[in-house]
Amino acid sequence: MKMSKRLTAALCAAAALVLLLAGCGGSDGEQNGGPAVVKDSVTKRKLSDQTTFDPYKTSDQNMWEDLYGIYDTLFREDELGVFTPNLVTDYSFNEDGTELTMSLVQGVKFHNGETMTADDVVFSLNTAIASPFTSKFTNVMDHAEKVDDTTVKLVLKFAYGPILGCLVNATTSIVPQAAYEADPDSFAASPIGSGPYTLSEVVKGEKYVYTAFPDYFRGEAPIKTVVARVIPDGNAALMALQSGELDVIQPNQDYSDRAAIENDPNLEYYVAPQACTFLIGFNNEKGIFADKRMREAVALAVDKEDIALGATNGYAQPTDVGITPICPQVPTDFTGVARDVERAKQLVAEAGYPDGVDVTMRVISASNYTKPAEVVQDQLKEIGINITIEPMERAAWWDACYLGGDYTITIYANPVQVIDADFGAYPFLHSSEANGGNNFYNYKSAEMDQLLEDARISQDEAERKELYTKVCEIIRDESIFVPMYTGERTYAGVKGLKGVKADPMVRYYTYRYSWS
Amino acid sequence: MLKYIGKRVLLMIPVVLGISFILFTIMEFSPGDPARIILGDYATQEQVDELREEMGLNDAFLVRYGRYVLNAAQGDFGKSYRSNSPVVGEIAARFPVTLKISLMAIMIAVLIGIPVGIISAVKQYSFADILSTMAALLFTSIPAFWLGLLLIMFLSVQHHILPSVGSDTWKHLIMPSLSLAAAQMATIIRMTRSTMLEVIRQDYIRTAKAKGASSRRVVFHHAIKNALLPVITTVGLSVSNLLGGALIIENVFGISGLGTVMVNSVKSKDTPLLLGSVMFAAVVAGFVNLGVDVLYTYVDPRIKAQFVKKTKRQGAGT
Repeated sequence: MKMSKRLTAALCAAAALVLLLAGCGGSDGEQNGGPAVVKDSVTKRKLSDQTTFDPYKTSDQNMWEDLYGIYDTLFREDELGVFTPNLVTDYSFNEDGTELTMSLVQGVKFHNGETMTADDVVFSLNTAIASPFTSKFTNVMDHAEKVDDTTVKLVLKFAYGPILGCLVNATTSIVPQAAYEADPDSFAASPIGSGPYTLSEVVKGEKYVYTAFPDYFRGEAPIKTVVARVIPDGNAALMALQSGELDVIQPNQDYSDRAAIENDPNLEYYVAPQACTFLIGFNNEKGIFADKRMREAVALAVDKEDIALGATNGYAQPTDVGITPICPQVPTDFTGVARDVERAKQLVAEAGYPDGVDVTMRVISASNYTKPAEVVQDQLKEIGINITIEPMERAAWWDACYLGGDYTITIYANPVQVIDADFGAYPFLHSSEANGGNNFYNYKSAEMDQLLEDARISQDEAERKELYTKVCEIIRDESIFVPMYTGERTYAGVKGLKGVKADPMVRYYTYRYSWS
Repeated sequence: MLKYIGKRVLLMIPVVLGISFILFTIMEFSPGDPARIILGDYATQEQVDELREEMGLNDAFLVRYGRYVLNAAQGDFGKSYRSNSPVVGEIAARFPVTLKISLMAIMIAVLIGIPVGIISAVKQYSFADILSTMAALLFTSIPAFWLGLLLIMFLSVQHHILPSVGSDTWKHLIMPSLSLAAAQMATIIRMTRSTMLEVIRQDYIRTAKAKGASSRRVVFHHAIKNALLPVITTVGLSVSNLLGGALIIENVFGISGLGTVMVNSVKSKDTPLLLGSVMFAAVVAGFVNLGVDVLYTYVDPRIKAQFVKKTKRQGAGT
């Protein structure tokens, strides 16, 4: 009996310890439950933990999402997707388009109470330009300089059409110089911006709480508290949305939860075009697809409707243009290669494989790449190209295929970070980016280089469209890669929350949200 | 006894060193460049090379490992590649929640598992026995993440009884703990049942019964002590399993514990954070095992006697 008592005591002590530890978690704050009556807060899903709040030290789209609430950029994207001045009242380019002069909005307050100055703007832009994290948006910028107390000039290396789009991105956010310089590490953990929200609570890796900034220069946000909960798992996020714990989520990118959300009367599913085109990529330099006839055979053999159906349950749109169709410079009435399986078989035979050929397709091991790979594998069997799919971890694929060029055929999606054809074409097709850069197709052509360079610096949108049409024609005629389809960027939220929309660039401005 | 504990603690050092070396090697040869992962896809190769130099990644493998060990010996486990914050701070921020879930799970498993196992053995082939055996089989077979999703569906989505994500309050921890506890509970039920069955058939139990001891006294006074020994081992091993299992469950319930840290650090090739968190988990598991061994001495007098004899012998020799 002595033993029994001792055991009971031990178990009771352990139970008390657990309850004590569990009780340390804080009070019963936000909770699941029925629908809210009066609400001025929003709880949203965050895909991954925020590693930094320093806008110049991250190139991760998931990090930018929250930065748009904390910081302001010189320009912003309005509700219609047009780039409009934000911290700028007026702007102009010089004659050759290499200098952008901006007049700043006066009286903009930072979260620490200080007023934004031209020095802060110059410092912010120059810090962004110097950062290796931001080069995609800043490598065309040479430097920024102060003209006077209310005016700033941004000097470019060359005239650049999509420059305003670059100044919308979170990597060019404006920070208070003194606070940033005092202690950049501390700034990265406790950010100070001029945006509509201040960071008020951090539970590392679990949730981030933002509170509306009362002195925001465009007026205090209608949503007073935004809670960003880190939920990497898509199913968990969906169930949290359905149970009322979350108000908005970014759904699964393979559309696996779409039907569940669309069929729920309390939820709304938002759709926007995706800022990338899924394609069959070839190594144009080595391996069997260095032979144009083999690439052309693939282009002739694939049925894009079937691939889009099989890979995305029909939620994607087949496309023939080689640059993401969301870009306004891309031709809208472009004709691709008509399907001709017999001609494709003939080309495979002419290339030296009358009895067929075995090929390994290395793809990133995520369903949005492996699913289309499986359909393509099935379709190419018909023309004698027998594909073995080799799924790889993203980092491994990146090292081996993207940077190393160690592949013959793959599935990829050329993304754009600014909705402009330059972002969808130059990095992937210019010869300076081949062999270790973004042009992992290793396509090199003087004609293509010239077209891309001319289109990049042109200030005439009609001329740019013409140049990019020629680029798309070369992609098609040379079968550099085979564009398949462009998907949808999706977002979901509870009904009653206004101002929510899906955004191709994953720029979710919570400032626009309000409860009806 | 103290000498024994000291020896065991010292033995952990080579174990932890071994783990760190194996992990360091695996991370070294796994694909992906940490500098490229940190800077992202947009950085130029020159910028990546510059950061590699700055991080000391261009030094020889053994030089880097040696430097890591020397710094770790002085309490500096480095900074996370991703967040640039000290590894110790990252672990300190994440471990409490994993500990809470694991302890709650072990409590549930023990408090339900042991009594059910005892009843099952004492009333062998009864309805209760069949029911508990079937339940144990079921809980062993159900993957923890799936059970977690079922619980969320039922208790959160349909009935709004418990929250499904986060770890803010004790209510948040119930479902993750239940999901984690299920398999361990099944193991404890089966282990308790089989050891109890073995014990209650032994001669000394028959003697106790013949002497007129009540069934309750026979079970709780005579049988349970001996039956608990293997169960304690199982519970000890469960703690290690729970630390590993938390890795999946944390993901399902949107909880950022040690498991999430480990998974994310592998994905982002964050070697310092991975090494720090795995070594920490190894030390925790080591101490739990040591605790189990010490607990043996209180449950089984024969083991305690070994230490006493040794001490006496040593005392006599001097």
